[in-house]
Amino acid sequence: MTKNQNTVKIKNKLSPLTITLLTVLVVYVVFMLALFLWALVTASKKYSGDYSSIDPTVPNNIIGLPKEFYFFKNVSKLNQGFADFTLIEMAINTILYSFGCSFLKVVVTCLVAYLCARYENWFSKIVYTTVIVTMIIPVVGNQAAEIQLAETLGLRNQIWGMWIMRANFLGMYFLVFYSVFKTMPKGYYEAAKIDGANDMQVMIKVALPLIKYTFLSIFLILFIEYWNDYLIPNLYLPKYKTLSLALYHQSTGQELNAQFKREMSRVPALMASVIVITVPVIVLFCIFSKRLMGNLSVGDLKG
Amino acid sequence: MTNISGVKLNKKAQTMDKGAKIFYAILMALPVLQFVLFYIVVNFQSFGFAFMDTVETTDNKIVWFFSLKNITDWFTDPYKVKDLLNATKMSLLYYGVTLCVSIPLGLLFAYYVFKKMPFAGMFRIFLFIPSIIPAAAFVLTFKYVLNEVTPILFGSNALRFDTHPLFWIIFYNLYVGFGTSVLMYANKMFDISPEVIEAGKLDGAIGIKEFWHIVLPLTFPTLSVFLVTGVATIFVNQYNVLMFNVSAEFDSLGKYLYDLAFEATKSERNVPPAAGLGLILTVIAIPLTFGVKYLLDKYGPSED
Repeated sequence: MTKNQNTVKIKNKLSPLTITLLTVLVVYVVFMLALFLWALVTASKKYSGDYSSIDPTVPNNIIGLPKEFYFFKNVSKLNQGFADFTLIEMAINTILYSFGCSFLKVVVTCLVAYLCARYENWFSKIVYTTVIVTMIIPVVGNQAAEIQLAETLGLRNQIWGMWIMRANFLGMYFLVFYSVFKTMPKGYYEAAKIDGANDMQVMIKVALPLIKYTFLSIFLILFIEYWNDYLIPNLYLPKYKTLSLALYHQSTGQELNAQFKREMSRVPALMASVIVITVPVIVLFCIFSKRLMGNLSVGDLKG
Repeated sequence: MTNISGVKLNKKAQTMDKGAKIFYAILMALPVLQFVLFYIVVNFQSFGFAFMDTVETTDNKIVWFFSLKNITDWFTDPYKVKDLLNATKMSLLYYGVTLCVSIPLGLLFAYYVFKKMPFAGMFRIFLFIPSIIPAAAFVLTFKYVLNEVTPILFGSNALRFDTHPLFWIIFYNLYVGFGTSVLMYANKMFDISPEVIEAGKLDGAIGIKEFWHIVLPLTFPTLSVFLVTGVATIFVNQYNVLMFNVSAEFDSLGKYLYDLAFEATKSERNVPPAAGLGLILTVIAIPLTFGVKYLLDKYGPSED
């Protein structure tokens, strides 16, 4: 296509409605970038003497660039700022919680979906119907009872306990796996069986390799979901503080080291925490953006 | 037994059926046990707790007994009634705005992405980002930018979060939810066969006609899922109110239930009120969800 044809095409597309939509989208993006740029710049400032001026005649530096790069010092304060946890411990808790919950959830969902799609018996039909029914029927407010059960079973305040509690096959991702396994030609399985493979070998060597990208996409989505989660850890894992929960506590002034409490509630320290928990997610997104954005849609399931 | 080619399978293949059963049972056992424990038992337990109450004896023992108090209190206790009505009002407001603003805008902007209008690819990426950024981080940055930066930029406190918390909570939820809905609708639109669009063009369906008569009906299954599952969000979504750390007057039902669940972490005696309210809301949510589904099935546009 020539340059002139391209220009004509763009001009044709630029109707008043398109320009309005484009403007709204530009504002949307600029606002988002401005938020995170401000967070990054603020996280690099010293609170007293930069973000907040010591000299009453000098205005506070709230939107300017930092006078000195203080980011790592702000981050190092986070290491001492919480009453019972260092930054490293919270990072380890977050990784264990996010990785374990997402991995087990995706493995269990994938296995059960495979069994239901591959072996069409009455029990598979019950399982499939159960997933659909639990998705449609909204059960509200059973969390208090779940907390009690977790307490009784000794699962509360244990990261492995959360892995067990989250390792269920319910939800939309079951249907995603199910539809992928269902559309696989049965000839694949039968050929492997004729070659002498048993059921386990058929699953591991034939079926699972074909869904590795779907598996990875769902795992990544869930990993990010658990990484960002502070509501569930607040109820179930108070003894294993995760980074998101730490940020929530920091913002509300809870469970902070008394010695550093004032410093921890300063805006630069809060923004340093914001950057610390956001950067890993952004890095993951940069690496796997296609996997994260392209594979799933609601109402119609793609593999 | 025969395979897909109609060839009889040998005896070994047939005996593997038994092996398949064992394989199936072993792999299915633990997930089913997990489901029984953390779905069926939890829900039965929650149902049971809703009809229980406790009393502490003189020797500090807790005695449980059957009671309707955890149900009736939500209709008779003036403090609980006031809190519940307020939370219901706020949830309906948050949900109503989302329904009226987010869905039409989401569809419109999804069409923009679908038609590959200028910079659509770049916008797709940026629209996705809010759904992966930790809510705790996003809310905090949003709140501090409004509180600290806008007074300097505009020389007024009018845009501060603390001046208009309700407006900003609604705005924030729209802003963050908008991207996800645009992408969901756009993904569904990308599934529309180019032949269907071309056939529509030949029949004169261009621009807004194409959107209204072809794209919208074919996107309806996704919209329908959003609308049906959206009913439950009235009862469970806390709309980031917890992270905004605002007064209880802005609590949604989800936030209110979350607070009750948090109280349950302190003492088993706090479980029954939460279970009671959960039961009441579930009884309302189920027919409401099915009602919405019925109406959408009956009156929604058909893909045909």
